[in-house]
Amino acid sequence: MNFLFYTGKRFLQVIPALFGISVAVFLLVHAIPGDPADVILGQTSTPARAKVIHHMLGIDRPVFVQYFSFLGHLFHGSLGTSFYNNDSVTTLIAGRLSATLFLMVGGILLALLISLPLAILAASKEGALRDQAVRVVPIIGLGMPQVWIGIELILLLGLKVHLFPVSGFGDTFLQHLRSSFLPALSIAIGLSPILIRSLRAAMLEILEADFVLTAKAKGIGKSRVMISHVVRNAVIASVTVLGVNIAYLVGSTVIVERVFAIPATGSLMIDAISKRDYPIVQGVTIFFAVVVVVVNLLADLIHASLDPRVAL
Amino acid sequence: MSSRLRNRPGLIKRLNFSANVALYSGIAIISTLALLAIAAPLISHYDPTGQDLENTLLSPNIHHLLGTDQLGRDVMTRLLYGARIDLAIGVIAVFLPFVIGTTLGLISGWRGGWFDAILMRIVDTTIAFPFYVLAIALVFVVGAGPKAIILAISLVGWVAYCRIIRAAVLVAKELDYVHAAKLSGLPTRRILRRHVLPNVISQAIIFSMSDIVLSILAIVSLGYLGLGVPIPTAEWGSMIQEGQAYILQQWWIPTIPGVMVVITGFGLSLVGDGLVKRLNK
Amino acid sequence: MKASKKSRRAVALAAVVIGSLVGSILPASASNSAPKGDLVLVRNQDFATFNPDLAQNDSIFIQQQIYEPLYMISQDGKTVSPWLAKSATEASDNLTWTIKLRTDIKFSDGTPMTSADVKFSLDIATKGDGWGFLNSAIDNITTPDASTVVIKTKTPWAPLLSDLACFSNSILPNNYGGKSAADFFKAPIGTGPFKLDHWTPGTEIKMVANPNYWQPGKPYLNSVTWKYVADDNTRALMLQSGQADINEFPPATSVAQIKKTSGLSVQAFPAAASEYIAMNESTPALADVHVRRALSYAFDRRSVIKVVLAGLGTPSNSILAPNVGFYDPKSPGVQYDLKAAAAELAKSKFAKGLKLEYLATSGSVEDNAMSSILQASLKKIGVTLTINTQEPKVKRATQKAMNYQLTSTGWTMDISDPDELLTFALDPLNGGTHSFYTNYNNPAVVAAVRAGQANSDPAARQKSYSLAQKLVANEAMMIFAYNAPYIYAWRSNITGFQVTPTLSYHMEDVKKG
Repeated sequence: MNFLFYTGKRFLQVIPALFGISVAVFLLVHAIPGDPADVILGQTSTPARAKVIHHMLGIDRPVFVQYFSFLGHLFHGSLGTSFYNNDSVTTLIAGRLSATLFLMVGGILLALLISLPLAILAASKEGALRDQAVRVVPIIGLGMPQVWIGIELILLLGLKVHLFPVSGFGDTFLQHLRSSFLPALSIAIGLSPILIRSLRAAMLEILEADFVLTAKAKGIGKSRVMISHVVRNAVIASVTVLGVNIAYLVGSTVIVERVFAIPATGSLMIDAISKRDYPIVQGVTIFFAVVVVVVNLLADLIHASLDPRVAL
Repeated sequence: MSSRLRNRPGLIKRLNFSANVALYSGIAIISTLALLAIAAPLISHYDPTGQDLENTLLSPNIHHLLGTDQLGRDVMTRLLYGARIDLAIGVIAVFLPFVIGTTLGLISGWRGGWFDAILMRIVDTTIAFPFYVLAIALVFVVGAGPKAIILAISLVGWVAYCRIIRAAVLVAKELDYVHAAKLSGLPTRRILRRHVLPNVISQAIIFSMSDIVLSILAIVSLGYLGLGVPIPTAEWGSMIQEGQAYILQQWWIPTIPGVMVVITGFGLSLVGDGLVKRLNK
Repeated sequence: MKASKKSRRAVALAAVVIGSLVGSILPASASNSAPKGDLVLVRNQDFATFNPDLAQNDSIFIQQQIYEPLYMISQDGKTVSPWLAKSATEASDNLTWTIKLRTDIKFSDGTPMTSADVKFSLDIATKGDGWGFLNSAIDNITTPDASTVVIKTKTPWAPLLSDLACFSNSILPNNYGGKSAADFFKAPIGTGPFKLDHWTPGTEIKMVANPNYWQPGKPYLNSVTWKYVADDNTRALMLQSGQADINEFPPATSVAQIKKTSGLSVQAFPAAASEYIAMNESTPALADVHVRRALSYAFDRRSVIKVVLAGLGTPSNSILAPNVGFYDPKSPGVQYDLKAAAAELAKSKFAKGLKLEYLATSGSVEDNAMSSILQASLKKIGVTLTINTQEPKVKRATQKAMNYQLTSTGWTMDISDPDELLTFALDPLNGGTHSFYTNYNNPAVVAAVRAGQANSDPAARQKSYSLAQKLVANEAMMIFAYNAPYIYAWRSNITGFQVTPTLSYHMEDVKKG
């Protein structure tokens, strides 16, 4: 009952944040100088003809009227229509969704694949050589720019040895897999330092917990303790850490898309800003915000339900 | 534990420098980088933006220790002058978030109530807002250059300090001597300034070390996207962007600026780690 | 003995039979390149719309593989000739044009094209918010019979046939074939050599051959796919590996390298496009013709072309590009001459200590080179130039608000006729842009532009336009910087690919292999 209450409370807290974001992005895009009509009309744009286009796009109305119209569409499940393309923003995002998923899911999986074993290794004997060695990784890794990681991967695994394509997304599912490996790995390498640190700390904490000491005292083998209690809790901790860093993950994909020329949602947004295609910018921002907020919420709820220390 | 907190030696005394390998080596690295950046015109006689179209894409040689780029500019020189931009902006960009975030976190943690509730919603909003949309918008409005970068980083960077300080204040609030100070009727401002702040500020300082790294990473990313300091000014991010095309033949052109960022991050992380050991003894 | 010999022979025979059977069913070794007859073109822009009224460079030339206009621009860019039309006669009142249509044209769904389709298409084009202004001289259109269209203009209008050759006046089925406009532009039908196969926004658009195309034997290709690849390097790699057959706009600096690569061809097609540096006469110094002439003399066009275009370009001497109708090679646009620059400056009221601002496009290598080269030259004659940058759309807005002093600008011809550009750039009243946002206003020039518009006689038009070019060059209305070519690279097994000065190409003429 308490937990349901907690869920409800957290859910309600999410709504003002989403509202805030919709207002913030709306005001922001309308504050950017530059005229969408100029993009549509090109070089033949004149102030007189731009006015006609403004009316066609509905941007000659007062800003708050436009905002309420935008909200209205949002409540009907529509993210608006692109100024330039006349396609619905939802369709455009959907078209880029598979590439985005390949990058983000691939990035998370590879990050866990790298971080979990290293964190477990380090936590298994605090202060030992292997612990010190693993601890150096975040110290070096946190300073690595995402773009640099990507370019070095291109050089080493794409150009020197032709293991993977260096850019583009391919046409078939298999090509998608091959093309997204390096970008996903790049994201994973960027994420791992943070993950390793947090997971190691979480596992050390668990190892010191009473019940583990009791288990050890009872003579249960260390590896069994590790596997049954520590790793399980570590996975829970991973969820929390990933949840907290989801915004960073979203940001990383923007860079990686540019480095590897992958047409996913990040580049859709950046291109739209250049073209002053307000609906796309607003739509993709809301989409990203919802992803971040939902993932955060889920991570929070999982953590709250499984960690007895959290007061509900 | 409480004895540590009861006596409040000044912050300066607490940072007393006895042997600490991580702290010292980190400071050494950062100082060296800063020195190299400041002394750039003394180290290299080349103009970082000076083109030499007869000598493009040269390998490292006696005249150009790191070779030249696609416009014949000396890479080493651009690296040194780029250090000025990235290091300086990296540090400056952290200042406002530190001050604003700490202040807000202090108030929010101490007061709680509606102020805290509203602030936390603003924090949620800020976290979920895509950073690059904000950065690009600011660059368009304010113009490309340090101003826009610092503004963008400041507008989102305060959140981390706010949360850290707030969490630390919530803990400090429960301490005996803080209770005592409250009960004795001391003005809130005095309590916060003299009793709470010294306790919590160390968390912010430790975080600021990794925050400088994050700032520099953001500057480099913006530079790569063409939103940093405008060309042809040398900056590590734009050097990586311009160099990407030559990665196969002249791999060092985009690689070395990245290495510089890693070294900078390494030094700052060491300092941060050293401070953690020092201040949380 | 006999048995084993027989059995050995049997085995050998079986091996041969089985071997050839297996060999025939094994697929041919997969090659990297698109199958013969399927062409892939990679470009750095994404196709946006099938609506001719809203088309820009990212969509125009692809639309033109599906839709066709009544008249077609020539390969040299200076004239137009009949295409879907057979002929046109201008009546003696200079207001009535009778156009005869070809009778063998079919849309890709098999329906024959008639005058009703033409009237419908031209009427909606005229009402369009995007390119409708091109048809502003048209009064009404009538269709006396299925293969005749009569166009009445409000005033004598020489550029009419050129306007009819514009993509915005492409011929669509009457009433969008019974569909709504929105539905039609999702599944368009035209008379062109190709029809739509599929369109994935953000990735690619593919078209297949139109079996009902009116030119016999064409198109030669099975399909054409335009892929959007923003990165210059990726496109170059795709062309080299055969993943792409044509690369649109490789950087000028890579042309020398492509020429050395076997299996690839590259060509710099002459373009009807000009780069200018606009000077805002709201600034007192720039209202002085001597200052403007001095600045134009001080601009080292050849150095800019060398740095930016690897030498592939020509300095401009006229507001018109050389591949535009009625371009005058004798147009007296001044060229780089620092002594003359200093002399002109001395004649002005701003000879000492002149400070000016240049607004450049941020992130543009070309603009960066142009502005810094100009800055260096101006320093030598005592003029200080500061350079500010803005993002392209922001810069556009600033330019339109006339909040600048000097700025880079340009024009690419949409039609072969100079009227569109000259009206925009020189006729403040009819152009609506304050003369390209410079506030330049010379009544003699306006009169010449309007005269060229009204009189269809080519000799008379040449006289008017030569006068206009001479006046604006003498008065340094803008600094005419340079004309850059359109660069395309393709694999050597592609033939018949040619690009007109207005950037259009005929895919029905292209062969692969």
